[in-house]
Amino acid sequence: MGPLDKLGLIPEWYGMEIAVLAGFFFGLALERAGFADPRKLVNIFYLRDFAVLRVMFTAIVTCAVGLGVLWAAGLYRMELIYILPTKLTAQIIGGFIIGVGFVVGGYCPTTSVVAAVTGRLDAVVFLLGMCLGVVGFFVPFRLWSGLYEGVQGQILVPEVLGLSWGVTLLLIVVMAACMFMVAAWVEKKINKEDVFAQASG
Amino acid sequence: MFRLRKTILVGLILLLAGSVAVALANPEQRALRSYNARLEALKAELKVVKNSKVDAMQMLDESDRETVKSVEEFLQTYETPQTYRYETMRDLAILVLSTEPVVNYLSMAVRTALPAPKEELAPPKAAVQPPPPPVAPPASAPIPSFKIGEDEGC
Repeated sequence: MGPLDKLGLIPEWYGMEIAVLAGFFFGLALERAGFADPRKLVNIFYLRDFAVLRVMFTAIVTCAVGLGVLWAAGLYRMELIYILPTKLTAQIIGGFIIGVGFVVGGYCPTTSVVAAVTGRLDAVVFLLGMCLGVVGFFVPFRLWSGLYEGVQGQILVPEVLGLSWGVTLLLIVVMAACMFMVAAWVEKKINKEDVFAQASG
Repeated sequence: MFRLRKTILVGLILLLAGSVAVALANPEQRALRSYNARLEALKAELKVVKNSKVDAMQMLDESDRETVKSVEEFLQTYETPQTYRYETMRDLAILVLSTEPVVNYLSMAVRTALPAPKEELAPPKAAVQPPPPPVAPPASAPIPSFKIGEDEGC
């Protein structure tokens, strides 16, 4: 029955150790998938390579279905996991800023750590910039603290749609499969156009 | 035409099968039923404690007494939720998991500390009555194993 640390089945600090171990293997998987290379990462913005979308969405869907199955099997309590509260305005603005940072710098926060570990200097600079950004956000926090007022609680997809969790999971899996097919089609089309452009250029 | 690799196809089938299994198992309703049953059990245990002649509440410290009082108040106005809402269920889970050890302790204390009938207690023609042996509370005090914090997250 889980979550193990919430139910006192393992000590809380043990949960942190597992998190460190899981983080290590997550980083290793990202590096092996080529996500320490900013050219591969930013290719998604030029519609040339949707590997980032595929990997991240597959991870999300697998995790969601896995948790759902554990819940259905009575091995997990969904209501005991922590879900970040929704702060729509702050999250939309933050998402836009992180997107701009991603396309300009070539990394997202996690992949910058992975790339820095492989010894890439640009990733180290990106990491330093990220730390400066954190300080730049935190020090004058009062200026934008209004964005965090009126927290909307945990807004969850099944509750908004009025569907059961199982049906929502099914829809998400179908949506992911459709997205992957569209991404494959776009990739093929864009890369073909690139080949023609290079040949004629 | 799209070509699917065998591993991708197997993964997709597994994900679809998993989500169909979750839809069929309907864990939300099961969680609702489970918490309702546990609340009913708590209600029954609290009734036993209330009806007992032993003032078991004295065995608790102030914070545990407050917990039990707040649960009693909650149970008086509690209506079974019709649908599974994360926030409601989380509050319910925290309430049940943090209260169960205290109420179980109280109930056990009441059951083990019930005084014997007066006729049996009084020894015949004794000039000085020895004090009745103190009623020992159950060996283990309630230590809720459930821990939850509001400051977590990534």
